[in-house]
Amino acid sequence: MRTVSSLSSPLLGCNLVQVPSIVCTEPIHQSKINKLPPSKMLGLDIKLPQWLKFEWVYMDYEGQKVAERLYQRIILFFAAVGFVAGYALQQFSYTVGALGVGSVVAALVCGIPWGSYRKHPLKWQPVVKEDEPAEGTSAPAKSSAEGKKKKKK
Amino acid sequence: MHNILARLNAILAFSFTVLAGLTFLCFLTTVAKDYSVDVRVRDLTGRVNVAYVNGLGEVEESIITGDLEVDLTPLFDWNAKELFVYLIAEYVTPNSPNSHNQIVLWDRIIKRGESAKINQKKFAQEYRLLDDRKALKTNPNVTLFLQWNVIPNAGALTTARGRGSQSIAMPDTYSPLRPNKQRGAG
Amino acid sequence: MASMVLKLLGMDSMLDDFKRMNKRQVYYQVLNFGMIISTALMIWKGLMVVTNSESPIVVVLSGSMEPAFFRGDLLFLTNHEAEPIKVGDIVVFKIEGRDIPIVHRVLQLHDDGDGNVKFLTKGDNNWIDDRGLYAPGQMWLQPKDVVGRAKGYVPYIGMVTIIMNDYPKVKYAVLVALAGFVLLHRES
Repeated sequence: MRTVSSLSSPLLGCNLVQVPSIVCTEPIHQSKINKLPPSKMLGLDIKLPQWLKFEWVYMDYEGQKVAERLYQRIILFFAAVGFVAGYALQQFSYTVGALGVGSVVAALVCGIPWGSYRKHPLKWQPVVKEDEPAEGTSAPAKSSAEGKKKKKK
Repeated sequence: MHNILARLNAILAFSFTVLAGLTFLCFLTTVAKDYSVDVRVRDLTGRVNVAYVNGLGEVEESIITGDLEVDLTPLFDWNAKELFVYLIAEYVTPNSPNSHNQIVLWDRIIKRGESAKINQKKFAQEYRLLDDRKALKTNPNVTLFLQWNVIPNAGALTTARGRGSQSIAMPDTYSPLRPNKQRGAG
Repeated sequence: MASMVLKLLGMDSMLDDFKRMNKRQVYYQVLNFGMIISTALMIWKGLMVVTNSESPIVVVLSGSMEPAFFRGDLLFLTNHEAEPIKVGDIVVFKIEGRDIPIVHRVLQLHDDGDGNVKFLTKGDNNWIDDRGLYAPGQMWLQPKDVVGRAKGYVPYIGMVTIIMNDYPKVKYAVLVALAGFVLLHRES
């Protein structure tokens, strides 16, 4: 029985729904082993909160573009402010300090993958369900997986 | 840009590039600046005597003292990290018209933030003024200049000479260089 | 777990380019590498000609010129003959018989007008002049000992050279990594 919707993540082969607790109950197919999160690979079907799963480390492409533009603008802005302040007060340490602050701000705003950078996730094609096996056509691994599937049903 | 490390690496690299650019711009703002200031060197007196130095043999040694006054505060723009100030004595060796001798008598390091006013009465000569070609006695013209080296945060190292100098004529006879030393014994 | 870490660092596809190369591409990579090396060499030699110095860029190795120059600072040198050495100049010189150049300041200069120039140096941070550093019996330096006079200065950049001098293993590791990267990486 499935309790998941068809919203999928580009990084994990498993279909997930965007609620805090996720349970993936479909049987583990051989073809999906490499795309599973570590909790599944280790066989621990623990309910992990959304923020602990790996996908929060990544931004989608739109988000990356925005982040790149943003950090450049932040650092340049602080650099310009620092340059003017340093020139006016004749202290170069003010300029360097302003740039340092700008770097930290840019790292916090653009380095950390905030939710606003994940607003355009990739649209993956829906997973094609494994059809009833055509005997003798597929690799041994696949037929053994299907054998397992048959058993569980 | 697809994970945290790549992004932080990009941000750090960009910051360093911008820092290099800012440093260069800072250097550009001071590239044509004239670093000379008025200096007052006054009341110079000099003494000459014979000395023996290992490796040089018999040489003439001289002690010069006087008053030195200068205010170097306007030299500390935002690209100046340190000033190395030194007092030089210049003279020509007699009978060698193209000759040229320069000796540093006294130097001082002024770091950014320290007081840049120098007011030395009877400055103490820090380095021995030795001449191995007997050029000091009766030398009519030993000129004292104050020069400084501006060490920037980054950029060109400039040397500038102070405006104002003084010359003295060295005495005709040898005399003890430090006559006051004898007084303590009595 | 290791593959997860590599994935996090974005390094899991590094060797894929290499596996796909054939002989022509290997030649191309080697030629590319040669181009990079020869460009660097050309720039260095060009600088040597323009500045007339055998070592136009040096890294300050000792603390004898503090607080002006610290270990790891970069100095740009020129050594034009038309420009005479003056007292107060920061000169980089080599003592006969020793490889390591020294960065100190000229303290005294005697020019007898006939082309014989001799001078004495001292480091800002040293108490005494450099006579103790010169070769035994040598009392003065001559212009031929001078590698160049410092005209420009950039702080901190030479720290890389200092680290590689102090820890030779780092030097070999960096060279191997650089060579590997240039030879294996392809502009896709």
